[in-house]
Amino acid sequence: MSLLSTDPRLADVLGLFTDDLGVEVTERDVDTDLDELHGWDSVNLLRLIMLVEQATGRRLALPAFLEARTIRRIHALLGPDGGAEGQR
Amino acid sequence: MTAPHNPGPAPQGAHSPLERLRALRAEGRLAADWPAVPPLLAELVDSGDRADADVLADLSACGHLLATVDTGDVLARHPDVPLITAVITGHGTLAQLTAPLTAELARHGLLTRPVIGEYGAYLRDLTEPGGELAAVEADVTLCLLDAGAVFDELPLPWGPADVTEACARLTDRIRAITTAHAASGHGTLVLNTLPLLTDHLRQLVDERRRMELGATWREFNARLLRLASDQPHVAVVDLDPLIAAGGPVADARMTRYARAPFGVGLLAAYAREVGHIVRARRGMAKKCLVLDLDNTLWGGVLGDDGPRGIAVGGDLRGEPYTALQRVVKQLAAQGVLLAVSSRNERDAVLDVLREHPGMTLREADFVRVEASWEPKDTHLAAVAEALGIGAESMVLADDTPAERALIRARLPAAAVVALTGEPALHVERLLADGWFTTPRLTTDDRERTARYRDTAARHALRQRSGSYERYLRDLGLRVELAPPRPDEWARIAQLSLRTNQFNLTGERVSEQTVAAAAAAPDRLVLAVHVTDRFGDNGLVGALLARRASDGLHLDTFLLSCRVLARGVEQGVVAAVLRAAADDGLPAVHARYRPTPKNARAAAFYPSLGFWANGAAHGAARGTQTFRHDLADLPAVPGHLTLDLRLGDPAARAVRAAASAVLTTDRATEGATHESSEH
Repeated sequence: MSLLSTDPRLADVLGLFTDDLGVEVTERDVDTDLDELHGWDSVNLLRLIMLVEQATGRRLALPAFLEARTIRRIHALLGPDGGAEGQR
Repeated sequence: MTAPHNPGPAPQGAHSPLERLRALRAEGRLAADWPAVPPLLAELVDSGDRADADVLADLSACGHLLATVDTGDVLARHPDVPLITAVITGHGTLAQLTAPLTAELARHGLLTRPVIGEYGAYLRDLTEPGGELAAVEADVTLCLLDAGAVFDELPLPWGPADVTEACARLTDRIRAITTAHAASGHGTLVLNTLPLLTDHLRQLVDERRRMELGATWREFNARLLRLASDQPHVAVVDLDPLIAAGGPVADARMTRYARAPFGVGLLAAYAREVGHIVRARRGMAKKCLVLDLDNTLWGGVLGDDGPRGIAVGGDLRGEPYTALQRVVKQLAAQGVLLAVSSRNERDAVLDVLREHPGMTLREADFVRVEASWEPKDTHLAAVAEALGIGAESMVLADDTPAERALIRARLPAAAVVALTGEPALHVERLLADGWFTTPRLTTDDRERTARYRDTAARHALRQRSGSYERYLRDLGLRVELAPPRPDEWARIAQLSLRTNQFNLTGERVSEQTVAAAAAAPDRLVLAVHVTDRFGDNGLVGALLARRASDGLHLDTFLLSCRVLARGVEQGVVAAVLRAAADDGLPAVHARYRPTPKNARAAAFYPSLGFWANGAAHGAARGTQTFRHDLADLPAVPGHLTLDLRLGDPAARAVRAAASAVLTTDRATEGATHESSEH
């Protein structure tokens, strides 16, 4: 997992989805609603939060993550400013 | 795990089991290569010095990936992989259990089909006969409750009396669930104790009321734990020791925001327990614990340090080894067979086992001591042959990674326990997996070690006797065939779980099934007791039959490998055929269903004059049915003294007026199987 960085690249987030969550995604999916991704299940979001927290040792703001609807939004939330600029 | 204080991911080489599983998935080969998964997970768990929490986290990661594979794909390619349908329901969001559960069952070679109940609907789903979950024929139903099931119901403000009332209501609900489950007749229902959290307790500022709440809570959990004692299809997992060993119940954020009452660490520990509950009920419990010696049962290397230099008993250095030996002795007292596998000089090992003042375990505690410079897979194979068991019934506990890797590679069906360089952790490691978990212990279990030692004496007689026929005559076998006493029902159920080689249908029967059959007027249950000059073998077999208009149907016939190939199996069926003929029945029908283990029993019925008459209607694939017309009856082998007693319900079944005592000196026909070994 390449999320040791507190400022992961979008490609790292896509890798996390594919390798760790087992949800196959490409760059074309970054704005797709999560529920429309093949193989997506809400449990994946909980798992993603846990993996990132374990890997970075930092506590994420859960309500924002649980409300995130796209990979782009998740990527923004994982950035150093916690997604303040990532609203879309 | 739930606590995000881990500075980084566990060290993972490019070829770690998790990485390899990821690669298999990325290449789309997980379904095709499914048989590679259990050994891969065994390697992951055999982790030496890695922290248990990291191993469990990796295991869950594997489980998450495994759960993305379509079970239909796996079954299409590997139709023999057993599928476990697991219903997951309870008070909160429990979908996170799927990953660790899938991984734990995969460790045991089982494929998981999880069925997650609707949030908040557990009571409806588990009690209403027409509910969605009722249609699922679950092998195991996991109903996970947390303290919220009680506290969510309380008024505000609340006191201990409100908790007592809410606990009573929940107890009634759980009773309704167990009753509905018993009526459904599907698989095992797994409940759990409810952890009480500081968040609850500290809402009371009054010490006395806090203690009262604590007491009320324990009484509720105690009632829950006692539920299973008279309900064989219910298991209750005690979460308290798991929490004590593994840390927090939950991550408060996950509880509040995602309604997940249990953290992934606790779910992983729980999933492991469930894995062993399922194993035990599928007759997969291990029978024999094989122990290494140097740095396992004692500290140091006997060959280098000598008997005086090894650490066991007495001083500080020997303390952890003594602790392990005491635990091992405790397991042995409950029917776990012990053996030694040590790369050492045999005489030096025997000297320590006989003479060393610090040893708790002695030579007599082991059914077999393999101490030689042969590789350990040879040791384990020798133990298996001597005991008449397979590698899948064995567990090796060893501190040397290379020895464990050898066993994993050469005998993948055997389990390994990874002991480390820190002997103080030996006990924890040995007990981390419930390899010997059994639904219920019987008196027979406690006497098993002595019985297997008698087996050794029989082997010796056989070597002296020359011919096998002479050996059988010298054995002085007495077979008693009679309806079981009520206290023997549990033993028959257990025997059906443990017996694989001579189990004609591979069927597992529960204690309830035996009890029901014993009470039914048209059913016949016979227990097989065998004694010989070396001792009482105990209740070693059972026959369940059913009377119909076309004759007597032998539904289940099983015999422990302990007494196989001595003519007992032929004698039992010969006696039943005779009784059926005396009773004027038109025929006796029997079934054989091939399983991975019972191939040697395929020709059993034909060898006794049964005729094959094709496949059973709607039965599982491969089942053969047989019919004996009772015209030409096989003789009871001459070296047996066989006593058939038909009790009251059985008498109604076969209408045998008086007890038929069949003692015959006739020649041993139909004993063609006696030359085959277990």
